[in-house]
Amino acid sequence: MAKPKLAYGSRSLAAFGTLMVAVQVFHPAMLSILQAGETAAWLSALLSAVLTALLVWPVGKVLERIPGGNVMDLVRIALGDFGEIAAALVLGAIIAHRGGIYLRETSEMATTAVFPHTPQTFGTTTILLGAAYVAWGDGASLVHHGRMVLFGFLCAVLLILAGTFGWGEFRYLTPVLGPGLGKLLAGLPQVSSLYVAALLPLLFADGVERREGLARWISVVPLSGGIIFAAVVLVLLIVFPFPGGLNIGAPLHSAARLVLGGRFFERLEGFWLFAWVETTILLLGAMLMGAATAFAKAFRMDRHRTAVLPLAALMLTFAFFPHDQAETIEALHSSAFIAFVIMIPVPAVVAGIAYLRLRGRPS
Amino acid sequence: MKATEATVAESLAHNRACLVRTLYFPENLGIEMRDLRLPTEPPVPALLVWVDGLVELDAFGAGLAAELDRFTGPAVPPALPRALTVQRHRWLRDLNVLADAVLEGGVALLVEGWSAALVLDDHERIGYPAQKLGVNPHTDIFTWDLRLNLALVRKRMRSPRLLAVAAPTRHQHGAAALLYLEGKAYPPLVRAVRRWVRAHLSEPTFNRRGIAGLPAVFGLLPRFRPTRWPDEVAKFLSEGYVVLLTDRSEVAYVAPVTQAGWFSLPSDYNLSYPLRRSLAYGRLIAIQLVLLLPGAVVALLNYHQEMLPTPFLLALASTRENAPFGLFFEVLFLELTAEVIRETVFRLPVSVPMGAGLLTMVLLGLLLVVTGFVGPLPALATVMGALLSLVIPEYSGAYLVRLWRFYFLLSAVLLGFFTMAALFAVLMAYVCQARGWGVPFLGPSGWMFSSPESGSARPQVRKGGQAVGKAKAGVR
Amino acid sequence: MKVRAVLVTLALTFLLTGCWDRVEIEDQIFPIAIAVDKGVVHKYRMAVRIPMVGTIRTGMLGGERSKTTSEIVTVEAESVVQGIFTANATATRRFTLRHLRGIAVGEDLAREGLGDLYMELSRNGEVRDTAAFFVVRGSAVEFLKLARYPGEINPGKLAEGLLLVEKHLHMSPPIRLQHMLNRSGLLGVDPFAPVFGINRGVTGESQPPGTTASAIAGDLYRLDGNPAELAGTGIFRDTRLVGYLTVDETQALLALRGEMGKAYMTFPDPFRPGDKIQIRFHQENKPKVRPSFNGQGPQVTIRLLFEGEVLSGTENFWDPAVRRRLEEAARHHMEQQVQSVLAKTIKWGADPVGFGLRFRSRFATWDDWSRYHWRTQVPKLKVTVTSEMRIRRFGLTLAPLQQKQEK
Repeated sequence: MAKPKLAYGSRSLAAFGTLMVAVQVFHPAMLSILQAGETAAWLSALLSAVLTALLVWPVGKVLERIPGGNVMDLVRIALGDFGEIAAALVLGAIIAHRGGIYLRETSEMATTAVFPHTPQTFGTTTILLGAAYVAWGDGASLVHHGRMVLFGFLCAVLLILAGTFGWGEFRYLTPVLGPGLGKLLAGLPQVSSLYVAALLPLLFADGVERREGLARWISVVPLSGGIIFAAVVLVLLIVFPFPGGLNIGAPLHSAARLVLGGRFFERLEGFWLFAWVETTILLLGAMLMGAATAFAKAFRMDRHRTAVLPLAALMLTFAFFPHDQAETIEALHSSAFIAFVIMIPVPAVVAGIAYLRLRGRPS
Repeated sequence: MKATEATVAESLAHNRACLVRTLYFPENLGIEMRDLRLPTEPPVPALLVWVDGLVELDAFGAGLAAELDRFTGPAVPPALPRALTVQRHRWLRDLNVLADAVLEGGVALLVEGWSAALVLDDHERIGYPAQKLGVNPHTDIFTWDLRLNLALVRKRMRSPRLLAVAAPTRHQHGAAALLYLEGKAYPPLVRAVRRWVRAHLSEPTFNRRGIAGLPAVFGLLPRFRPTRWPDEVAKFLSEGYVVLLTDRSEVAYVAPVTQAGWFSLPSDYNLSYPLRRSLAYGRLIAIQLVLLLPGAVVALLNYHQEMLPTPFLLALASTRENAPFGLFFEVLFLELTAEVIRETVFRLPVSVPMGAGLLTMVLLGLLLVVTGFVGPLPALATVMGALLSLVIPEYSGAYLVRLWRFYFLLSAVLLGFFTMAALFAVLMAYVCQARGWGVPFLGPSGWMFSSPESGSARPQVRKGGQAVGKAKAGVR
Repeated sequence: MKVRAVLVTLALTFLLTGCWDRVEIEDQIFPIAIAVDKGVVHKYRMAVRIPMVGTIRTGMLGGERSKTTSEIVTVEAESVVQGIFTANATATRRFTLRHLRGIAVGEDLAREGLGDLYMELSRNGEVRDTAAFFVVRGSAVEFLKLARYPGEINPGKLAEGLLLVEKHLHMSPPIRLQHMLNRSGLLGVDPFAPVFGINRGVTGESQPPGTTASAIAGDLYRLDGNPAELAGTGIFRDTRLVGYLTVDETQALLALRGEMGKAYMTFPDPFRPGDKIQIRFHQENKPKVRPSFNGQGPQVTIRLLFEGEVLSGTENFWDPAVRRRLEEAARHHMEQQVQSVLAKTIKWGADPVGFGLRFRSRFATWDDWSRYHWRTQVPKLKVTVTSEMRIRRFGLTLAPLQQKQEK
């Protein structure tokens, strides 16, 4: 029996994308929200979610007109074959860099907080092997996997929030405007870098069979991710008040350490370690596969698998660039703005050009 | 079907053609038609239709064929039943009802020139003696006879759309039948299974290896889910699965293998939605526990001691003061022992109940704990795991889960929950990627994901008839 | 297929390494409490309380039960971790702080400031931030050595038991390390911690105190039993200990914060001068706090509402006038305690009630708030308290039995 290429729906894609965005609540990347928004960080998380949603919506709208196409097809239509190759290279570089940093910081935090005697390489390699395996499969499986994990992930996050809520003092959320409205808005691009993963559903849009409603569901991704971010940030702010809270490497992990449900349910961060590692592997796997499929499309390769291992190696290399834990987080923050601009507004512009080119042709 | 076609006409040829169409004769195994001539004056052509296995023509009444051969009376409808010793008969005009009556186990007699068909019904409608075997009583079981097995399925499932077609095999004597529900089963799946049977089923397969044991589609999952119960087969057929019955095998092979096929039972249909749903989640949790419990014990006690409540930890530490072995060895030893005991119990004569094995496990665990050979927590985890693994009714499914728990145990000893989570991610990815006959293993999961598009990532086996639409053709 | 086989093999060989952090529980010692004092030679003098695992019995298993279930090791070191290592030199197992349930800090160290200690503890991945936190009047090391809790079988329950007593009686606030870490900073609230003391009357070093006023740990009128006692509150200004509150003042502080559960209060009997009467009371609702600014500085109006029940007393409570008088007396006593807390803390420049948090919301941005310099505003703080006490229940009898007979 011929292996059918499996399709999935826009809603599955949105659930998968939401997970990809929301996974970062476990990562030090969250600090960029807290740093930019101070006591109003929850507000900046929501505002940047809206900003990102507005930027990805037109991309989805144009993608609705291209059955079986993803954002790379848009690039080809707009900028031609060379543009597509260049886009694949840039995308690969950014994904490998960010993936590397996520990889490093996850194993770095695991080493710091849980396994002080274990070598750094063990953590990184374990996660990367898992991610490479995930990327070895096909897009439909990955989207389905993400959709299944989303439920457990949300439960895990909600449990942390519910468990740490008692430590909080709501008045730590004041002053309401944090650094002031001007600075809050100026910090939005920095915060929006957390929504870079909203590009992943655009890359995986080729498997969506029924295209109507695609744009709507794609713009749901940053919005739902933003709601999760805002909820987490709200609880983090009341539990680890500003400004001291800014100095905690992985705030949600520290929050998990505080969960206190009577004398028999405390220090349960091991459970969340489980969710943390599982979802990180999925995120890195999705990033690898996204970049690999982009390569496969640009270079007309039959299988994306060819590109998975080289990209994974590149990721591992990037993971070991930063000198220390602080530099790892710094690397993420310093590249945040560039990554955001390339991953979200640029595709929007490309989608605009593609739309103009497509307008002449029959759909 | 037009209204005229649906009634018995005086032309026997017309009736015959209609029945051939309705009952998919002659491809449909088990459906029998015999032309004969009633020895009246002049002889009249007639047609007998019955289902082989449901009806033994020679044992029918005082031997139906012989009685018909002796029938000389006037060739008018009322005379015929009187000449037969069959207790019950009825006259039918509707051909569809007639087909149903045949599938019910009746013998239809159509005679040239008669505008009604005689249905003879001999079997006594007494149910099988109910065996109370827990919640899920299987009342009958497959035998070594393909013909009888087919009849057993037909007894359970009396749909004219149930097709049993002969599947050619590589071996000339190896008869096999493919069963599927026309209009429900995914046609490429049926074609693929038939092709595979032709290519792979040979004499050694029949004699030595079970079919399910042949190389799996992808890694660990078997190609077929074996079953020995006709009621399960009926359930699978009604859900669009394809069933392979082979001669000289008391096992039916169901394709494709899906989690729904492993974890649900025919008796689930009797439950209301919330009960069925909670039962499904209960099974899911039980499976997770079986998978993760031994590993979690090792991870907790060797890596994440902070997770245990302090008084409990101190009490536990005091029980381990004189422990001769490391915890990992204890858990591994107990789990392996449990496996051996379980296998032994499977090989015991049927008269020894399964409970004996569990009791042995509990007693042995208690003895080991009391003698200080192992700690109480690993023993508890092992016995719990052994009990919980029984929620998967099918052996091969349960065995896979039990095997994977050793992998999780090994991963737990490496870096606690960190490596366990990594392995879990890989397992999830594997399970999401796994396909049997192109159908995802996690596929038509009515009981796990109930959103309207839950079937959209896969060609549907279960829902909406020939749901080819969602699957794009072509090789990836 | 071959590629996959190679990958799997590679992965498996990789996994053959590992097990770096694996350690059996019987190979570890889990200190359950530490006491930290100012050191003589080194920075800290520390006492570590170690449970004696072998003496804890579980069901039919475990060791022989003995009288002592834990031991103390006292060391001096430059940091807590070094102190633990030093203590580890006396053992054949690895010490780990994963089950550290209680941290007691000596008065001298607390008055100097706990910033360094906090930093070290919050960096440490093993220490639980949920550990109970205490201040000890005098030496924490001496306290840990002397403290002997009656009925203690499993020392793992010690800290939880202390927190339970704190929550039940409200003689001292239930505080954990995380509270101290969070409230040390320019946030608009200052930390406070329960106080341990060594009762010199019990140890025989001095006579019991001769006052009937509400006391702090160490001053309770006791003749024997456990030398250690837990009562009162230590008030911090940022990371420094600045003073103590008595048991009654502790209740007033908790009431001002809206955290007082059921508490017990003994106050002068309005009907029999010289006698005292006891009630059990709680807050009927959260305190209503109105912050405002006037010319000189911040101003706060608080309204407190209590509900109580009589536990002792000899009056006939069928009489409405008697009930009103009792309510008035109880209210008066409570208000006195509240005023005393406010006077003390404002004098010390500390804000354990968290008035600053009430003022924070009056500022739009963080910069505005930090320019206000709350720390300098605390001494200018004017607080007006009004309160009401409603006695609802009077025990199982509403009047003394002999009064009924007289009628």
